[in-house]
Amino acid sequence: MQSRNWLLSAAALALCALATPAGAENTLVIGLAAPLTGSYAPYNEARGVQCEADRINKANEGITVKVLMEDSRSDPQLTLSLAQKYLDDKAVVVHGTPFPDSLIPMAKMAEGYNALVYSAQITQVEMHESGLTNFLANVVPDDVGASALASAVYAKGARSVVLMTSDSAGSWSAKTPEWFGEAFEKLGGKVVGRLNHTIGTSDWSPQVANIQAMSPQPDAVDICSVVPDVAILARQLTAAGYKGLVVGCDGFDDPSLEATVGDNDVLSRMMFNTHAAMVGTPAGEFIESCKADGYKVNGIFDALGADMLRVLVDGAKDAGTTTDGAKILAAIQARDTFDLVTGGKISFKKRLTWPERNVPVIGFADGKRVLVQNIFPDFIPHSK
Amino acid sequence: MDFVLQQILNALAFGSEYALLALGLAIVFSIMGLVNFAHGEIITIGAYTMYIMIVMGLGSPLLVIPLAVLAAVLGALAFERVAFRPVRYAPTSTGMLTAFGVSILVQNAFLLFISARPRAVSVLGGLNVTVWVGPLRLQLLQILELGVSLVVTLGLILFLTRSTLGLAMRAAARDFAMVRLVGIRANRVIATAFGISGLLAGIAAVFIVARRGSIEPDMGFMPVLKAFVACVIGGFGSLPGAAVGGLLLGFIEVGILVLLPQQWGGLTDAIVFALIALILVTRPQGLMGRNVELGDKER
Repeated sequence: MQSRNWLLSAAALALCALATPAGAENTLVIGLAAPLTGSYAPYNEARGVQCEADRINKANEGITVKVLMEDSRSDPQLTLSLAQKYLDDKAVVVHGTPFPDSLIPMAKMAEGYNALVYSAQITQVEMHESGLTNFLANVVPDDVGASALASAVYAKGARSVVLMTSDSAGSWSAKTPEWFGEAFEKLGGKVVGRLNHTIGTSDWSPQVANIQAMSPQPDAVDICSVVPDVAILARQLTAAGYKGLVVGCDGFDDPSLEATVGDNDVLSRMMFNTHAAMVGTPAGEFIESCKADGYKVNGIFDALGADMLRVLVDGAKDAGTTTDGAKILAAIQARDTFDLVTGGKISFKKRLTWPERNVPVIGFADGKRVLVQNIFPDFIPHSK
Repeated sequence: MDFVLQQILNALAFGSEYALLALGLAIVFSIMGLVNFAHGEIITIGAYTMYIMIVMGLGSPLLVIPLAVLAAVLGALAFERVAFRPVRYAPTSTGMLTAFGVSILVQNAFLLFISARPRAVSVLGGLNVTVWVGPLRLQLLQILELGVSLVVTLGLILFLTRSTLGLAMRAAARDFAMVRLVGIRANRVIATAFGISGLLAGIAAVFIVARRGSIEPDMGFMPVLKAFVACVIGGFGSLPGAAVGGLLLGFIEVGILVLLPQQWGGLTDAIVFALIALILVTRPQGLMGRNVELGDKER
């Protein structure tokens, strides 16, 4: 009897040993140290990734996606600790709080595991300049977005601009307006002034008084900041009699922008570049359908998370592996184009760490978002 | 000249908001020796009350404003009863850590149960009307802020100098044990201090939401930081000091924004804090704070 039990156990173990590698070979393990709480919670892509992963698994595409996810609480140190745990648990792709102070050390850590860091939403140029060989961003860097915006603003008739910069959020808030200015001047426009601000400003009176004192008034004010700051700035400028444009970067792209501005006339003079148009587009449909399925999706970043997953799964199929990060990365960089969940296509072939994808510029008509332009700009001020 | 006058008015408006916030922090510190970093979350409670009322279809400003202030007062009283009373006799660092804990807890509760993203609250947008006085541009909100801060400061002075409870609070600020020995109930004095602090935070919440037009879970962080700096400048524990510190901070911030060459913008915070350090080197107790015996730490 004892020897029969021993034989059964041995057979079971042998079956497990045979089954495990085959299962693991088809499972793409992704570790997300997602900022579900804390200051960066609005920028997480976690629920969109989970929604798309469940759909991929249900569609039985030959690759199963396993998402390991915990709250990083927006803390860079905790993000790294979680990434370490995921890498030890055989994750081949890790991502976390989408800022360089988390992602650069994370990528260095992942190198030793033959894993890669793929960010759905990071736009900071630092990520592409730090010599990382296992990093991908799903969206264009800030200077590319700023250049696309500059061409839309110029096309709208603006010829002079005031740049508002801040050191509060690194190159995103300090350099993006400068890149906008560079692209704007290349088109024939002129930067007529520069003003400082701090992210979190709710009273722009000193800056408004400065702009008010300018003669002639600038055609546009460019700023890279967040909602509600930019909404308050637009309101206060209008209240002071300013009739020009208030334009800026992806920080404007928050669902509460319209209600916070609260005035269609002010909105009609606002414009911003973003990563995917959300209204009446595949990205918007994805979000709505995830919501209908019970996922607590945030908005654009969830849609970008789904794009990231789509690229990874297709890259893993091309590479013929779900466990070798270097091969998956090489396959992603070699492929001509990827079809995105948010519509359109991207390619990493030319830029390697960031994709060539069109940059939507959004404006407003009758209080509703409209797509003003959707191009990849000719002039790139900074990125290679 | 108009530009200078405009910026002076802007500085006054900034300063009066900071004064209002700093008074709320100072009144609790003066009684308990507690730097209540959860003061910002009392503002957040007031702000989210407005949002919840609008969602419930009760969006009239006449209803929203008093209920937001009331919610802030109740929130402050609840903080005192649940979080700060149990650590009243613990070292001051325990109280400060408790305040941080409460702050994180409340922020994340709003984040998890409402949203991490900003939510629009435009019900008080009417207060952003611009009033022109000759070439000078003033927002109705700025005028109201200035007026309310003045009234509140005067009201607080009257309360502290003319009412029995106010006198008891001032006495408690000097020697809490003695106040208890003469039969005044400690809980009542401290709860009143928190209640007043909640009232001030509620009023501040109304102004902040009117200007921002939106709310978010960490919206109380920056205001409480400014209030803290204002209290340090004015002298922690001194109510007139908090008001003066707030006004001075407003003038320093606007002055630097206007006068500093734009290419040096990154130095703004460094210059603000260098100026504050300069004030503290010459008056370590703050502009209006009391001298504290330092024993053998004295130079």
